[in-house]
Amino acid sequence: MNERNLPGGEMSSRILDFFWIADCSGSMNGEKIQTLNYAIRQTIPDMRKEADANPNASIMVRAVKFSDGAAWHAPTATAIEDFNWTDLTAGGVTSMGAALELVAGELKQFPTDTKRLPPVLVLLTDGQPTDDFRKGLDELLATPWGKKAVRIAIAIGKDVDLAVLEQFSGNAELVLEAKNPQLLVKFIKWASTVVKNVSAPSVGDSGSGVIDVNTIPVALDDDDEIW
Amino acid sequence: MTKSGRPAKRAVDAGDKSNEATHALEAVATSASEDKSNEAAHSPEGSVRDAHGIAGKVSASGNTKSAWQAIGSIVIGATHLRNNKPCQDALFLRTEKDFAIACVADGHGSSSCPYSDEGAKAAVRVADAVLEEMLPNLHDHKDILLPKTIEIAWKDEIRRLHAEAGREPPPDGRAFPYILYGTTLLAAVAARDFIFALQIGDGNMLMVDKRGVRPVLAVAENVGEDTESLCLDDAWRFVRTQIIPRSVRSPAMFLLTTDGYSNSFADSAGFFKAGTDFFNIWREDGLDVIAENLQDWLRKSSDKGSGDDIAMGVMTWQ
Repeated sequence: MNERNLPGGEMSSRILDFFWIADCSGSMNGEKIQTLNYAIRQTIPDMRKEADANPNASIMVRAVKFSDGAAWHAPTATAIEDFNWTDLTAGGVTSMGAALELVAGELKQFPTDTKRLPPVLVLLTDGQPTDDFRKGLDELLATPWGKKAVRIAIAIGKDVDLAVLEQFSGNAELVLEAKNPQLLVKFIKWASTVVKNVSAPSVGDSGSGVIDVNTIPVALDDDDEIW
Repeated sequence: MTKSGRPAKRAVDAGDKSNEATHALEAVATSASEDKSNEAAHSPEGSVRDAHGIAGKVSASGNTKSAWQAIGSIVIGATHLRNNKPCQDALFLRTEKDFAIACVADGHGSSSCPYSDEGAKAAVRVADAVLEEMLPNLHDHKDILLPKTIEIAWKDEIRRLHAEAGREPPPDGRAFPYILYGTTLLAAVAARDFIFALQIGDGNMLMVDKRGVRPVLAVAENVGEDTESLCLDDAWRFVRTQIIPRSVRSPAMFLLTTDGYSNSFADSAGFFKAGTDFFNIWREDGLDVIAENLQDWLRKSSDKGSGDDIAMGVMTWQ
């Protein structure tokens, strides 16, 4: 065979953007923020394994923290291979709307081509927004990728406004109620595994349509309700 | 929908193994026997297996007097191989004396579309039959009759396949779940004086000539994996068509690919460069060289890039 060079320009794998959106308000102080830090750190080796197993998708991680306002905790998109988690500390109020605006601003920059996979947004909170949540959510859903994203909400404890989280996720099944540290760890770990599912095409579905909700960890009747 | 007695036409999918490969070889042998005068120069025929034992490369040079030649290849995606999923793309090629047809389709592959590989194969078969039948009237590409005919024919075929497979019919009063077989479709028929192209859903069709490379059809404004589909209600509304008169009698190449190919490039410039590279290889070294290498190129593209199935049809116009 008369072998030739590969036609065309540079090749690259597809991009999967993963966002942690973490509540650092004062009520998170203590075991909640410690567990959140522990659990997210625990997801990194598994996400790296997933990246190794699927060389056709590059997992890029970002993190946003919110309390008195919102800010990038991991300021630039970082390949999971290079991503490390720096512990968050808690204090302040719950500026959830500002956090969603920050994410919306990032998603606006993404080209709407077929190369990119639906982003995964994981919102973790133990309370109720103290700012204009609706404005932030509207901005997020006004972006093509925000609307298309897989949006998972993890409610930490029993003081969370679940209706708000359902508005965020657009799917009640993707609002996970963590009533103790063990469940929070399980849910965070599960949320990190959805990167496996976010590569199949869908017709008319939102990105959440590709998630198998049957794999979500289930709280047992004898689980302690600590928070 | 498949017609018999057309030796140079074949549908190939990378998921089918020995039977399709044998069929393709037999089909080429038959066509070569019909016109032995120039087969070597025009028929880079044969079906080969890639490293995974999947059949792919095929040509459709059934009538060597045609101004058109058509070759193509199909590979199962690297991600599909790792996850033991079938190839959900399909390819169909045909060259006749007065026209050539190339069709590719991309079954959606999501959990709500478990039979999309069958849907894709049905789509390319249906497109071939409808395009041939309507060829005399294709000059008016604004006509909605063709998109409607393809939608109806595909849905008829899907219901037939569903029943034939013994799958459960929808409950009384419920619409047939065409989504089970959801697929895109790109098809082109090249006639003496024009090329007619149609597309529903994602994928790319490029025209390349000495003036450069350009898309044949407008790009649908979808985000990410969202795609229009033959399975949608009133799918004909989403069919885009184009007709290109053969006013400039200079060599031209048309590339039809499923989106697994364009998604393998870092950017669109890299994809368009592929179109130019294909054209230059054809002009400098001939279509045989492309036919020999195409499956290997697509295999490497999927491995290094999108990981998706790739089907590509290449038509050249001398």
